[in-house]
Amino acid sequence: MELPGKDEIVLRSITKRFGEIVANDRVDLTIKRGQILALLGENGAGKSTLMNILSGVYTPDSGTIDFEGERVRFRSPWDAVRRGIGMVHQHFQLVEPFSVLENVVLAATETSLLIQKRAAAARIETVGRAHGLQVDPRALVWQLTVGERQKVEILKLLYRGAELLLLDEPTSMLTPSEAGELYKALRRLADVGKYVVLITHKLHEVVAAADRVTVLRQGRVVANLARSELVSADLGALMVGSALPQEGHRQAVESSEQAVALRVEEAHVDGYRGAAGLKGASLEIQHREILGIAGVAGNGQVELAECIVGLRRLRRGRLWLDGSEITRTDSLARIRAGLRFVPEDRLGMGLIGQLDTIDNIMLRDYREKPFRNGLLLNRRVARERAKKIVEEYDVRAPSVETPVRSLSGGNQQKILIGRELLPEPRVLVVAQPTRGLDIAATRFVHDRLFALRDSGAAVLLLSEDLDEVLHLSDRVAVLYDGQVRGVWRRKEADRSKIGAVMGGHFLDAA
Amino acid sequence: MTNMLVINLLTASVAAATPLLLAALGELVVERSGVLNLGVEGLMLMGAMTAVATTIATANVALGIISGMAVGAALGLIFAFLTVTIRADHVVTGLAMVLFGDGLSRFAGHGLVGVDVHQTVPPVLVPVLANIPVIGPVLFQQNILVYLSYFAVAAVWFFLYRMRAGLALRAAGEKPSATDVAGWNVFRIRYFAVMFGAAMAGLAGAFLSVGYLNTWADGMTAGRGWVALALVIFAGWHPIKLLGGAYLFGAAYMLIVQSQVLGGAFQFVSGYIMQMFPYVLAIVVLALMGRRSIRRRSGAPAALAVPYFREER
Amino acid sequence: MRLEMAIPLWLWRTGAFIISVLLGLLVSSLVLVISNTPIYATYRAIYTGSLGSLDALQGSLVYAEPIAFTGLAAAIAFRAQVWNIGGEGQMAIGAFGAALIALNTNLPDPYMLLAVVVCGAFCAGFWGLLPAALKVWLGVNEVLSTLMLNYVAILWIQFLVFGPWRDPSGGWPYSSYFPTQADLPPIAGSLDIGVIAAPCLAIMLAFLLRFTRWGFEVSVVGHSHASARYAAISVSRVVIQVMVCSGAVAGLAGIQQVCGTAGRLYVLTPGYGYLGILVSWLAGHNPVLVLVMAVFYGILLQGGSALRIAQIEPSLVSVIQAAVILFALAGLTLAARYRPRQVSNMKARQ
Repeated sequence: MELPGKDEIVLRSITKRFGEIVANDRVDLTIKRGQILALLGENGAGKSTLMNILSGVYTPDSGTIDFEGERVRFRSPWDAVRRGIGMVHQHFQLVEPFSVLENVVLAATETSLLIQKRAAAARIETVGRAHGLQVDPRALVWQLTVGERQKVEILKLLYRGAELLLLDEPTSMLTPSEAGELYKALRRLADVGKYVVLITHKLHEVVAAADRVTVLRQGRVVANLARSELVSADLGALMVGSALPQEGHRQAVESSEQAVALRVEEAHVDGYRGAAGLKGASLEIQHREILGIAGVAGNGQVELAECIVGLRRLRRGRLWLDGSEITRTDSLARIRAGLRFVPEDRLGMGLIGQLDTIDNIMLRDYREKPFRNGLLLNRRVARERAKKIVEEYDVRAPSVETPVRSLSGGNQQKILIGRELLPEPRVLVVAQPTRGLDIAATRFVHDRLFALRDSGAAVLLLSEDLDEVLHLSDRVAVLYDGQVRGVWRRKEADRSKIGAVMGGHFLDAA
Repeated sequence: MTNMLVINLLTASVAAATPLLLAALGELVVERSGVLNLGVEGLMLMGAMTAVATTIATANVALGIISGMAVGAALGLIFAFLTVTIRADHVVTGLAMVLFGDGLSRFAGHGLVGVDVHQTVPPVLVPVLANIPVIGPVLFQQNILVYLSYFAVAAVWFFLYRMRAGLALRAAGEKPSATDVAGWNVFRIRYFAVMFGAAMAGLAGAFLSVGYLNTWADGMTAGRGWVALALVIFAGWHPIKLLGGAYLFGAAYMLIVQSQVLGGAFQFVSGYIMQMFPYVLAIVVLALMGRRSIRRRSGAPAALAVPYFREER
Repeated sequence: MRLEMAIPLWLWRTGAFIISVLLGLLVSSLVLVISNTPIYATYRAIYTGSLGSLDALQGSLVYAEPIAFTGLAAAIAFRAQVWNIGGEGQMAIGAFGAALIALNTNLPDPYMLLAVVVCGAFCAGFWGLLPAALKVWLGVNEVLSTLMLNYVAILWIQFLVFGPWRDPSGGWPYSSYFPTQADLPPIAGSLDIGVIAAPCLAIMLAFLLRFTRWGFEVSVVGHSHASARYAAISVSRVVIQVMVCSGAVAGLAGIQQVCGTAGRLYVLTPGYGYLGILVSWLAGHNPVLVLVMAVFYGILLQGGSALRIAQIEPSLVSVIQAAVILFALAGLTLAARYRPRQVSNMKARQ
């Protein structure tokens, strides 16, 4: 029988707000020594915030943390480190030109002035062997595989005596076999007596590795289950919640035109920042249709969108637009063929924050009439267009000459969408269209997308918000680990089934 | 006779190379931490002027040299404040520093132009080593600052590659976010690096004025600060290679001066064309480094001249 | 930190600049006090020497000319976020190109001048192409490569004027005088046509950057490479074009100095290239403001030479210059970061 409080880390009623958003809402969490706890949830569920609180990066607005019976408060990450808490981030914090040894020593808490190479190397090997995480200390990080780099990250923590290990989406960049290795390593760590917390959105991972799981949704704990109680289908539903009453989806008008507007065949694309990328994604969209792609971030959404519009190279695979192959055409030709794009990176790509609305309206079409006037730009026309969009889309801005970074997210998005819809595209690829927007702006954007579909275009919608996907789409598919899994017609789309596939649990596709 | 000439040439080369070596060594440390200080020329000038002024005022050469270093460090503090704390642009700040150092040294030093400095740094013979044929006179019959430069190279090497703080400094120049997460204070590291580099530049200037040419003249560094910058690139940011590079450049300086005397092949190639060689080589080095698909080994520090913003981590 | 006041950005920036200048002057005055130099007499001498008479004004403009060109050159490059530190070398190569034609041919008016300018600009443009190519194809950092090329260029000029092109009639290190057809036509006193050419160029550049498609591309590339790709603009192409133009314009500074002021090839006064970068930065890389800043600098430099007459140490002006720049650096950087906003924009973090 364990003593209450000892061998346990207990978070009670943790609450954290950012402005108006409540990231964590009275969250209770118990981490037991020797057990692997999975923290399951979608984007925005509050997992990362909770982990940042545990590792000392944020302080909670209210609530308590008891570390093995002792009340603790972390004022800085260093406090957490001293307590023996370590986090392996999703994006590794390794210095690539350095060796494994140098990276570990850099993060170590020793106070010696010299680098004791031999002692450190020996210790790395010992710790590695004890936990099944062998890496050659002299290897240079840039030469290691992603799986090996992750081992180094874990070794860093163990080397400095971490007792609690937090792993944020650790298998996002691993191959299945590497992931398997990781689960074994985590099991060994738990058996040796460490606290292990695994943050994930993948259901099969929970089943494969966890002893217990806590499910978060929209900042709250919705379930706490032991291994014996795990039934994956339920997990999917827990993660995405039960169906909310939907406002009227506008049914597509049946038309004779059933031509395929966009077709993607077996697309393979290199990953973004070392992530998985696309591994043979295929899909088809028809005119007068909205195809919604659901999925947790990091499963290939950015890569899919960018390769379709020509901003990212296909390693393998082919693309067709309205029947003509566009695999080899450049992005300009695709724009001119009627393929428009609303990227998820609003200010980093879609708009230039320091420029005003007028310039942003011209961003992609400055080469075409009427913006173009020989070698010159026709700013007058651009201003008129900008004013038109501002009026039509009800953009709240001091003037069309204000730099767009001063506008709210909703207004920025309106300008972005207005610009892309203006030339009446044949196909629109739109990613995360309502991220950070309020209800009114969201409804507005949705209306526009419906209108676009009704006018005959095809829309490829990528969204992390399952509600949005279900509301807008005529057909729904899921992107998981670089492939399109499961395609459902609207009528057959079932939240829990989709949630399961989003978590990687594949059923026979409907 | 030619033997004597060669030995004299080499000896002079070592002395000529030393200010380059000292300044470049300092700048190497600065750039390794991720800061680009183009202001070396200005710092050297201030060091040179201050050393002369102090030596004349106190009749003590050692004090002169120390004051040169101190002034360098003080200017380095200003530079660090602008680039690390205010996060102003490194390039523009560096250029401004050159202007500042040049102007201030001219202004404050105008009464000293041409004044003979009587207290000089005497050459010191290293007992046994100075008797080694050829190498002996060349390396071990120099003044104490030259010996200091040998020591400095070794010390910087040791610091960067054998000490934890040096490891952290290198990490700060490659990936400041990882260094921050690992618990080090990137800002403090960069402050120290910049002040060290600036002090070294001041020392280099001091050597030039009171240890070598024994005078002060406007703009006497004559571009050596810029050469030091080239040296750092040429050496691939590595202290040992820097030593070799500095002596190469020093020899080149001497050859230009002596080319008339030496005659022979050196008559045909203009000294100026020869002087181009190190810069062209530096560009070639840069191009080759760029070419390697993973330019990990001797590349520029990845975070060079990028101000660190913690929020963007 | 965002201020909720409704201060227009240009006012904010100008205010920051003025405060910086005042602080710089304050610090410089401290230096004067410490060195026992009379403050009033000094500032008065600077004023009279640079602005006090028509001759003085002329002198200021003579100094301002090359800086205006190198400043405009820097502005072109920095607008595209290309760090061209090579103005010094491009200027020298421009002078070389001019001398190439002037010393080796004997074309009649006006072809001579035309050829001289074209050749100079072409050679200097090439000197800008080199680092651009290195950057685009080999990923070489342009700050380092342009810096190195500066020295190569300066040494090349030194080689020529001490060697093959040295004036045989003795006075070294200069080349022979150019034939008079190659001299820039003078305007008034010692001012040559460059004084008109620079503002024309500035206006042309401003127009180019604001009203042409190419200028738009430069702006987009300068703000965001990702947006540029999104807009189907080839970043490499723009970088190369910008560097060639930047080099050519810097070359004009060199041409102006050898064909205008001097009338022969010599080792150019060092520093105009770097001053151009500083001036452009202070002007926010705006072509018309670059002119203003260049004149401001010209006044300072002219004031400096005037101090000699007043028996005050001329290098004081460098101190004032540098102090002003350092404060301006801090002030403008801070002003850019803590700018006033019209609308509060709170982003929730997950």
